[in-house]
Amino acid sequence: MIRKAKVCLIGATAVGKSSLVARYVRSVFSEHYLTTIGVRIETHVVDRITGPIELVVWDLSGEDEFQSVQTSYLRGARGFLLVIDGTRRETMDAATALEASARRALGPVPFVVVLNKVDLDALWDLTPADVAEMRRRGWKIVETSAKTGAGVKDAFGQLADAIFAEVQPWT
Amino acid sequence: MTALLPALEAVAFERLPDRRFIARGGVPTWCTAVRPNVDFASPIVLEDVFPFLTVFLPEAERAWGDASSRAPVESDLWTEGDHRGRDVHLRGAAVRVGVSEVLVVLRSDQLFLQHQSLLQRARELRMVHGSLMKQIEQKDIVVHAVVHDLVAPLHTILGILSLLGERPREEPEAGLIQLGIDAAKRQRDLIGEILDIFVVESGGVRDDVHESVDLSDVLRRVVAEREPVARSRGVRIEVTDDGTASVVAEEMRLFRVLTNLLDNALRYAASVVRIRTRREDAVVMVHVEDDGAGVPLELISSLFEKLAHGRDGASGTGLGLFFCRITVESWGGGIGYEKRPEGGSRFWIRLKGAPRRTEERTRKEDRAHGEAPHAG
Repeated sequence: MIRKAKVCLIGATAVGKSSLVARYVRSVFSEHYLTTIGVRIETHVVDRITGPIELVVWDLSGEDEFQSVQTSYLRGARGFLLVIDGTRRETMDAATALEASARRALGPVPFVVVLNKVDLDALWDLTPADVAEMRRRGWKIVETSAKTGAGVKDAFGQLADAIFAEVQPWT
Repeated sequence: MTALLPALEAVAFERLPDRRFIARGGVPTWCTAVRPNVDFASPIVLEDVFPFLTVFLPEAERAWGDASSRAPVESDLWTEGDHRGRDVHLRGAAVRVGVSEVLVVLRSDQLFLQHQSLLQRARELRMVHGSLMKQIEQKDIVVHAVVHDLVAPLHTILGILSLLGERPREEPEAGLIQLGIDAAKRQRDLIGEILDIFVVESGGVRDDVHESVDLSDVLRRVVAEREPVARSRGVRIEVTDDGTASVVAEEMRLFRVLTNLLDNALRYAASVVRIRTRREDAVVMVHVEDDGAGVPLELISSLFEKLAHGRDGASGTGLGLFFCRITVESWGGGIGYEKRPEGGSRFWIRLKGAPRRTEERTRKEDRAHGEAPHAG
């Protein structure tokens, strides 16, 4: 029987959560920004060494002054991607707050920090010290580009592996 | 009527005793497009078919459990993709119909697009605002650096002119040197004002100022400095001050604020400028009045804004009153303008009163003697 898990994507607005899902599930990317309302749910089967895993991906609307992440949407999630826009340092602060909310709602489930928009090298705003600080917290980090596809499969794959691993090394 | 719900792009699921659901009244095409492998003619576990409903069912239970309530409970919007990859926007509504517990899922593309359009516009404007603020901040830093660099050569010019002015000279040389000194001083004051505004705008001024400043002393020095200007314009300065007011402020900036207000009044006065201070409970009011023409109505609303034009369209930098406002506000005070009924302008500032010097001294003495302050 195929293993199944609900995973969520959380992060500030316009960090690229929906673009990551579109790239991962449908292999497409659009430069046009479309804000997510509520939640978008998609299913994708990923083949891992341990066998196929069906991920039910909940792409939650971004957190900002206009809309807050509904923590009830996290209920039942086995893990989450915490998405940061590497070209906007302030999205790291939002991620820090959201990680705490998710931990309160879900307990110690696995998560992967996604530093997105790595293709925009010239605009990169995160410093090595920022990344070192996140690693010091024990956060697993994957750099991605929804535009080029770099790192996207790896981020979801690592999360799927962590969810079904007997030992979860970064909770 | 079985086609009614599908025509409304809705599907109604009735809960069965085993907690599964069965579709009643037909199924719209989006349902089979989103879930092509589901047999909607048979009972289904609804939250398996629509995972979003796992978070809505607890809400629905409340609606079904309250027999007195007939109003439906609605879910938030959510989005799914159909078998062609197109977005389908949905929302749920739970309602009790007689003894039946019903959950309706409606396609709500129009509502979704309205929400999205509104939210997207707000977020785009916020991002544009953030980007512009960043650009302005960077520009301000450059301007600040340039203005700051203007100070050093200006001090040299002032020094040289002062040295030249100390030696006895015939006219018109002596007068020209004095003109140069006056111009350099005006430029120095202007640079000081610009740098002060930069400091206040960038949060450099503390908003927890506890400094107690002797208002009368500062006022006396301001008037003394501007007296020659007033005389040269044939304007009289009258001061009504009981000499007891201490205020919460910073002395150097208060000097500049009062100088700005007095300069403005002198510029437009016909014959007299009146300055009055008055303590009103916890605040101290300072009025600076002139008997000029007053501020034209169309300029009043922007009088204290940055780069507001002067009354004659040419004089002033547009920074003076703006500086006064942000400075006074940073001390927890206020500033305003009103037209005098008898003609002319009245500018006022409201400052937080600090303990009077005698009260402060008494309290210090009490503390020194380990006694509690006297009440009443």
